[in-house]
Amino acid sequence: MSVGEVGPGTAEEFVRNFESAIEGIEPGSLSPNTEFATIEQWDSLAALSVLAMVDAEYDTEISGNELRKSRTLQDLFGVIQSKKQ
Amino acid sequence: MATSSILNVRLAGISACVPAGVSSNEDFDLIPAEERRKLIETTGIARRRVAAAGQCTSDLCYSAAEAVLDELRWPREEIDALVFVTQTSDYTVPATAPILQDRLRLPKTCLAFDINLGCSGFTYGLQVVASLLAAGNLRKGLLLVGDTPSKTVSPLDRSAATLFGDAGAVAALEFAPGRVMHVDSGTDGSGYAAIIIPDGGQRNPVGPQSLEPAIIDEGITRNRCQLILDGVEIFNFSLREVPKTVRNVLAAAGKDVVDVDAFVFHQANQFMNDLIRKKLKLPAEKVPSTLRDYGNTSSASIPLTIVAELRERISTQPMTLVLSGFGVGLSWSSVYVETDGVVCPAVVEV
Repeated sequence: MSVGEVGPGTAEEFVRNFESAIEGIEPGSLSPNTEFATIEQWDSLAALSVLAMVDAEYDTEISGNELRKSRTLQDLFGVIQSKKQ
Repeated sequence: MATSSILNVRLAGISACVPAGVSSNEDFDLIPAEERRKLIETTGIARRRVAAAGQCTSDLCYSAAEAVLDELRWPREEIDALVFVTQTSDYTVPATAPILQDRLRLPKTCLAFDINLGCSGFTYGLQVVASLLAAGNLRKGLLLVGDTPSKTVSPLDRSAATLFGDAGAVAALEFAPGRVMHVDSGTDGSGYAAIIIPDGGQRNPVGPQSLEPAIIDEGITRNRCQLILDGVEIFNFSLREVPKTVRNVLAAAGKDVVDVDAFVFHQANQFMNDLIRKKLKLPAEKVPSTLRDYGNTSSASIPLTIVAELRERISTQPMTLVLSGFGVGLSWSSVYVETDGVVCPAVVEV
């Protein structure tokens, strides 16, 4: 599946999952290029909610180090994809 | 092989003790009010018990042990082993178990030693004491567990201070031919730094720099003799290992979820415990929680939850239980045990 296509396992789907994982985020308000640290609702609890979503939806995990190194939602999705290969 | 069966041991008694001091998370003003409300809702922890100055884990365990031994009416000279699981011992040297042996008036023939484990400590300790008794040479054993995290967590650390509570607990075990207990335990020491007090051991001896408070982040000030908690690593570890170990112990016992009356997990926080419960597809009514009133009480959390939530039932009816502890180490341990009327005094407060 090419980058940008909407469907299972795409960055767009990850963005939607990310939006629904965190309380108070307007659906459609984020994009793969969003820097998650700049999101108003982003805090340690939001981070854990995203990790829980990654576990449930992608059956993998993002480590503390990988989280610290990532800036955008696309970066996080890249971490997931790298573990799925 | 991490999964094993331990024969011929019965859980005869269980008790728990908490300090009278209460600290409410609603008053934790290092966190803004709205965020505090959200934190309490997410972690499920409204208040925690806090030991007084000079009140040690061994004091809580001593009171819990007196309560259960009084009701059990075990002659003290018949107790062959005492194992104390803690990370908040009375002294660096000696171990605290001998002090408790003497204080509880147990005989000099009693084996007594400490184990340094936290959240996995109760189930690990059950495995150790049950293994000591299984051959029938030693007949009665006490497992004492607990911690006073209030003494080791910085009150100025918003990432940890609202989570932990102080408590001690006791399980009384005896040789009883025909019984079977199933255990699944494991360790991942690569994660040792996920929960750590850096200074105070021989790797980093205490020096003047150990006690200097450092600002780690907004709302996180602590020194090097205080606990560091890496929430992300612990979270990933728990979601990865706990469902697996619970499935392993059920498989070892040849049982399904429907065969088990209650799953008592280490009380980490409600958010994590709910995720684990959902991953295992366990009905909420089979998974008791004491997080609201007591928070995360380290190795005491499983027995404290049994005493606070299942006391009536476990003392009057046969029960099948799965117990699962996980955390610092990193380590984990799950136990499948069938009970038949356990002596269980109400939670003691001192």
